[in-house]
Amino acid sequence: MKRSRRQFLTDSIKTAAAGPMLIGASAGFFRNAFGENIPVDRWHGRVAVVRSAPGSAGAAPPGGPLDRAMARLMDEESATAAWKRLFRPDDVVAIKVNAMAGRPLAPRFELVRAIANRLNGAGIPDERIIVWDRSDRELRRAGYTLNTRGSGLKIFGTDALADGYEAQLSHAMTVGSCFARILTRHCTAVINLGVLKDHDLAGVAVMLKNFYGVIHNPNKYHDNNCSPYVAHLWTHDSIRRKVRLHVADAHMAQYHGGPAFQSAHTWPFNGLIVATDGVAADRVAQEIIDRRRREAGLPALAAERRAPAFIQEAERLGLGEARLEAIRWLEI
Amino acid sequence: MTRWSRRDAAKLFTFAACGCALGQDRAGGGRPAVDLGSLKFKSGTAPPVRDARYWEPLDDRKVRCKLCPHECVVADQERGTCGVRENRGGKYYTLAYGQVCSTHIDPIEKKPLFHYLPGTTALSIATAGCNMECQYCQNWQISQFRPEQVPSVDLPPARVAALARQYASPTIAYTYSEPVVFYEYMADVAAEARKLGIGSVMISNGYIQLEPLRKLIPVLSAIKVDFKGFSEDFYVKVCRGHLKPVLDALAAIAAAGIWLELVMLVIPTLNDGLAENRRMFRWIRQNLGDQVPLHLTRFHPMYKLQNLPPTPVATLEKLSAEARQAGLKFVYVGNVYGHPEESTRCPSCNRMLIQRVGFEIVQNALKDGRCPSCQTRLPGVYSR
Repeated sequence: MKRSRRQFLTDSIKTAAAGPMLIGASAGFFRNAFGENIPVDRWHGRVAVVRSAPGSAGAAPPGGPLDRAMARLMDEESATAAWKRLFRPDDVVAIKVNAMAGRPLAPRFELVRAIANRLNGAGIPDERIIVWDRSDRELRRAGYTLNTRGSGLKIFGTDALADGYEAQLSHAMTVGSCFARILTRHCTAVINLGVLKDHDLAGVAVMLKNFYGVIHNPNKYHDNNCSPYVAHLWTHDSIRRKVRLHVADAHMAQYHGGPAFQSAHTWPFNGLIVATDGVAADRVAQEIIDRRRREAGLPALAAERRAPAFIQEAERLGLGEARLEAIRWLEI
Repeated sequence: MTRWSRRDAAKLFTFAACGCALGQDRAGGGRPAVDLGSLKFKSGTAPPVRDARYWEPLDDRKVRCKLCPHECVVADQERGTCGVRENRGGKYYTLAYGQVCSTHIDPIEKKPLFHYLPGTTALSIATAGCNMECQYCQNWQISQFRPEQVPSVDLPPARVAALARQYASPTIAYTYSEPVVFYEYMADVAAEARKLGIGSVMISNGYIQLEPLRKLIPVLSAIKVDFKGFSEDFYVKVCRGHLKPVLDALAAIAAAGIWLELVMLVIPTLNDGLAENRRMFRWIRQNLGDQVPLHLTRFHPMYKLQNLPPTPVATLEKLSAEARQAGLKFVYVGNVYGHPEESTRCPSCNRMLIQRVGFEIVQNALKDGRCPSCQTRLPGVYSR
């Protein structure tokens, strides 16, 4: 078909005008299985906390609670619809676990498997799901079986790769680091899978802090209770654009002595914390830990001068909701 | 005024549209091709661990590191700020021992050490890690990484000493990153090297506690310390360290009598103030003596400090003159190829003693470490 110069000019102008909108969309939106462009803060300030009856969750598979939390969080009739709202069949999903504390206080593999099953249900096969943390050693200590080839979930540490980190520095405000290539290059979507625990410097290490495991130099960002560094890290484009869901395995939780496992300071919370807003989820987690600390006769995190100020900083940066009174805390 | 034709406008808009489309692609709306088959796995294993020295146990399986002035309190499974020392179950370990990520035969002048066996070479080794984070670090690809994050080879101490002998290097230099963080390894290599008559020089930021420093000095032959600046503010904001412990370490080194040279990288607007540097020069003369060589070197944009220009040579020359005026006898200008102040003149008769161009020695007139004209002894180490 021959097009007139006028027609060509008109089309060009339309495309040029649409371009910036598309760029903006790519930074703040993702496309889901229904073909919808979803704003990354669609479920801003909502946190689902699902708990099993005391004593029952030890044997209970985590899939059921996860489904209930997802459906409620996203106001969907079914969990399947909720997962499809977040992911699409051609996604490659990386699940960043926090394996550092070892088997007693790492996300249970049963929960990883349950999440993978739901991703399967959204059309994403195991072969396009990567379960990862910074090192093979930590994953093994957490009870995970490494798998780098063939069928099934890919499970390995950043250090298993010959080029695990980007060669060039990347800046996120005050944080200057080389980021894990699993995050930057090898996935299109990320699930942040943490645990509910105290951290001796950061206050809590539940959702946002877990991503210190995606940079090569976390040891340089522990001053001042890790604030503002944790919040600044989350302004990085790859993190903001790709992290779709935060889940904390709170089957067993720790209110003091973290980040390593300290059996004397753990309690069976028998639950999961699920959110798309990691800031709100961290704020809820802080509240849960502080309540438990009060019950145990310990001072609040703030009284120990390790309140997680990075949560407020993250809110100030527009990364989520940190005001407890503004958070929709969905008890299930 | 240029008048635009409709053709020009069409071209411009087409170009803009293409640019936007490309930008959108890169930004992720058009998702990147993710090919998991392209993942390259390495065959190596995690670095071995060795018991760390200089730490004390605390409650809750925490430890306090006593190697450097940070005195990191490290929780179980965590590492200190250096990234190479890790708490495992309440015991402290080093992951850097023997894990050499960089090995070269360098001229000793490159360290720079100008009064230590001039014209010889040093087998230079490093592991990953550093206890500071200078925003202008020129070796950040190893100093700011953890041992498991950089390719390394396992070189036992005896093997390093044998390599130095094989390559006819009279000296082993612990350099490039920060040797304080691989203290245990450095001490063992230096002890092995000494058995073969090979010296050891530590190229360091001087950020080390006095007890481990004093234990180390007897197995070393010389030390070069990077004096970052003379303000606490600069150490805190630009280097993630503190000034006072460095001053204490320098005084301890001088008191021990081991050969010492100083380097100061002069960075425009950050540590090049005249008053501040005058105080520094006075402090050096009063506490370390007037014989300690001071290398004032030129900054080039690097790592996280990319927004400043290279140091004007005139700034280096001005500071050099000030240092001499403060009484320092051996002041050099570095990182300026061919600069006349790269060379050493006799402090008594001004005769050219060692003429250098870059790291090359063009002429060495020293006779048994003395000026051939006036017999003045040049301070330093000139024989093994």
